[in-house]
Amino acid sequence: MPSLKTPRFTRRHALVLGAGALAAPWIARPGFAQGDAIRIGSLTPNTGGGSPFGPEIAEAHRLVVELVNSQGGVNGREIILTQENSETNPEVAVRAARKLIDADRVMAILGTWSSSVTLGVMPLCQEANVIQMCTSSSESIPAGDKKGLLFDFQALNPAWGKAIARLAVARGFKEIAVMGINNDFTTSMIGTFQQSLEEGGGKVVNEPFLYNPNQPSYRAEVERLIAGNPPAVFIPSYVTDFTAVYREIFRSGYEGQVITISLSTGPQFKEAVGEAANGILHGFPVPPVGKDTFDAYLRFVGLEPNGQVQRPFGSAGYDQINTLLLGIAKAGNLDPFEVAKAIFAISNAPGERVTTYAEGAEKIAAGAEVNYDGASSSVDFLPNGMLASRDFELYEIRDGKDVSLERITSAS
Amino acid sequence: MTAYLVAILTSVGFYVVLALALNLQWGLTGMLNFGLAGFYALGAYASAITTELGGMPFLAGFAMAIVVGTLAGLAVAGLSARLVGDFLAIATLGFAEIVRFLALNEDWLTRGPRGFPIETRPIPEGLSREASAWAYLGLVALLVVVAFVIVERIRTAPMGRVLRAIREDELVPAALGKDVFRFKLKAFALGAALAAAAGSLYAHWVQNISPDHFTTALAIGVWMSLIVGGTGNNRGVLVGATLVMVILEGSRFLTGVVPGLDAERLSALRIALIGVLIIVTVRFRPEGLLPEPRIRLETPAKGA
Amino acid sequence: MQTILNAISSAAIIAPAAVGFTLLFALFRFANFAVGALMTLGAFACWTLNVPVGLPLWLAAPGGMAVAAAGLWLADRLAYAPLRAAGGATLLLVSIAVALVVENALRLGYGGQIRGFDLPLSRPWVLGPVRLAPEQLGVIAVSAASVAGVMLWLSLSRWGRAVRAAADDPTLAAVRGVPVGKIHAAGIAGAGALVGLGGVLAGVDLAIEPGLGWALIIPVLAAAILGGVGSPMGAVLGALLVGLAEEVTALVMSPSYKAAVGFVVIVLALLLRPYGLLGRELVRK
Repeated sequence: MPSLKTPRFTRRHALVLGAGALAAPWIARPGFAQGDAIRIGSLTPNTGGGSPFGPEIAEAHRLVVELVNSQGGVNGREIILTQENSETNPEVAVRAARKLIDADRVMAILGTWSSSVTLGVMPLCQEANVIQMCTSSSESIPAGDKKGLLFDFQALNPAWGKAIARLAVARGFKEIAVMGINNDFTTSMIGTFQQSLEEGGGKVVNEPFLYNPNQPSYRAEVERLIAGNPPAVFIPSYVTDFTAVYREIFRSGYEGQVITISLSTGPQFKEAVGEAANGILHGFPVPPVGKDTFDAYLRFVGLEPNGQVQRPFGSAGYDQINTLLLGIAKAGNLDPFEVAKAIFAISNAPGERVTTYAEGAEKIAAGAEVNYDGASSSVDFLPNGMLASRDFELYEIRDGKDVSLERITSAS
Repeated sequence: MTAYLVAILTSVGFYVVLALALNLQWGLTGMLNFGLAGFYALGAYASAITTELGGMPFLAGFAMAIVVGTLAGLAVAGLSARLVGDFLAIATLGFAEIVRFLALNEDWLTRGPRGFPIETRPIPEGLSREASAWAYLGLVALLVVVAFVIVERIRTAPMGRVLRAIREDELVPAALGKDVFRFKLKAFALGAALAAAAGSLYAHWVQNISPDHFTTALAIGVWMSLIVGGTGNNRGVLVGATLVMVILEGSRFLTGVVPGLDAERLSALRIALIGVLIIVTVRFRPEGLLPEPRIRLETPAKGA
Repeated sequence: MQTILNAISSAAIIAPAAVGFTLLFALFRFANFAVGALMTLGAFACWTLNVPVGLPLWLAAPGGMAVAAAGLWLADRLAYAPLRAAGGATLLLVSIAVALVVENALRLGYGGQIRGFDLPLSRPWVLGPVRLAPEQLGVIAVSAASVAGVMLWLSLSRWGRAVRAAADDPTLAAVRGVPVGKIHAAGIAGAGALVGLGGVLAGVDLAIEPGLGWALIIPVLAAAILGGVGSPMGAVLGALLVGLAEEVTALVMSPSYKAAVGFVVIVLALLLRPYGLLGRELVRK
């Protein structure tokens, strides 16, 4: 006898729930422009490992689209931007990309951050001739782009390794032990780090090794890293595990130099670790702080320039949407291959320097060549869609702040 | 839009095959396999390695996936057949995580976290994108049909009765002289083979696999399909898997509709609600939407 | 020597939660996967008292433990208790659902960024060939004291003995007039507090974020299973052995294999000795 008290979840309830979920897309969207509109997809890591950076990229995309639409769109066409969350997980990202490509009919997907996500959605985008713009650093990326439709706004791993090694040598550290997190970008970074270190007259002591994140303790890893008390250690990692690793290093009594990448040492890390963070050296590909383009971007998103790197990835998102729109303006149509060619043309020399969409569109309409100079870099592309160069900056943490020590421009 | 729906249906198809496999192992036989994602992953990687590193055609990869899946299923079942209930669940979970761990760390073979790109496809080259999508859906549908037929046949056959008896209380069929161990072994290995076959097809569909594709979250989704749809009932599994996928994908369209929550919070809310849904379903409708059909016992004709 | 000390440090974080887990298993006859998420809840609660509210850590910690116990009680009331009659398998699944809900409720409330206690990092004392940081000593001491306290309570106090009786044989205990409802409440309070403490101890070393539980549940599970579910002493022993296995693996093989140790221990223990080193077969459905 069914209980009279407990409500029964019946088949009917399930059907209603299911129908509701299916109908949601048509109910939720009040109506969208047909025909001539330009459809663009923004796929950013709003949760997961990339969550400190996804929202700023998405924001840049959104604000520029709003601005350009308010100025009449691109060649009179409205831009429709659809934003999705990649959750920094390739399986989720692929499903989101399918929706963007097949349901929202986008011609480009911008904003992927993690290399495994960019690589994960690449087969889909290549098959559908969808332009991709990312800020990923894995070396496998140029190889996967067989149609010339991908533009990477981040320096590749080998460049990171090289730049950090040169900066380390310049600071006088010749013997360095290395340990990195096991994920999609560290292995090639460590390889070039070692190579560049040796070219600079230094060497990696002990065997470099990888560690897995999400562990309850990193004592054993740290023990191995500091065995023999090397003068310096290099630890490319993410903030969650670096926090635990650094605590371990400190508590183990190691007093040598700790070098890492700036992804691990954001404000959360400094807050969690406090004073003990002082002295850490970290490096990162950075937007050109102090340059007019970067300052303009900051003001555009409502921040004031303060001499520090703010929104390291948002500036790249800003450049992504600008170059895409300029490419469309120049191509005069939405054919992905024409647009891709046009993107090369408007980003690289020769051409008059432009820094916003409005500026560039005006000149293009007048028949002139343009060279887009970006907020995250000078945005000049090699033929394979990778950046020709990007600035690197090395910082030291002093009194809880990042103090810039050196900046170099590293070729990809 | 059709291409998107075709893709969704294809995803549902994979879910369904996995859920049917789990239904065979748990719904019918009572073996709690939390490590389903492990067999799925094994099939995917085995197929990928065979075709990409070994240069062989898709069918070879598919066959290899089934072989590896069956062997792994036999091994896991053989070693853990003595375990019951949650102990088995934990052991199989351990197995799945070990598979994921190996996939992550043995990157000389599996390309680790960077992802394993796969070129070989089971459909003819040169098809348009639309046609490819439909062709793939067709393949997956074929696998679903085959899996469904296999699992239904088993359910209604004498083997099914023995498996159900094992699920209720192992001692009874043992006392009746059935080799319980062999039955469990067969059921588990068959389920594992099905999961591995699905894995192979999946790998060549997404064309880039990494350990992140085979997480416990996937296993939980498959579980939900079973619980919501009806444990033990294969038709229910179809309903459940479709419903789960609809909820997972449909809720994607809700971003922007719910005010005041950023993407991170919304994502957390979604997952929390899924957890609540599982608890509510288990509490108020444990048999799922379509309860297990009762097997009619043959009643002797009157007067016989 | 340092390896052994490191193993003890790792075990110290895991042991209280493992004892809590095994108590819950003994009382309620299922593997409560939500323990990981409840540890995270304890860590967050302690952090909230420690950082925004400003209490010193030694005051915030009991707060964290109380919140974890309350969370466990709530989960029991809403999710587990109505399903007491269902098998261990169903409850295991429900506990995973509870873990999802707790973790994402934390994410909803606190966001995904990492937090840390207001605890300055300090350099270690060097005692001969070994190094020991003061926080490590604190963690080990608190962990040992709590676990010892619980075991004494179980063997010496009236309530503790009643809990053990109910754990060993619930029907017999009920027949003899032991108030099973109250016993369950006491068990939940104790186990919840231990689990919360585990979360606080973890927060001293690791970054506090909503997903913390998943990293911790595996060693906890491994320790409890290895030691024998139902045996608190076994859980402690299990924690030590698992910690040692991890350290040795990292030393002898590559450290990236350390993460597999927990799973391998679980699988091997279940296959070879399901009732662990010190457990006995518990009457189960």
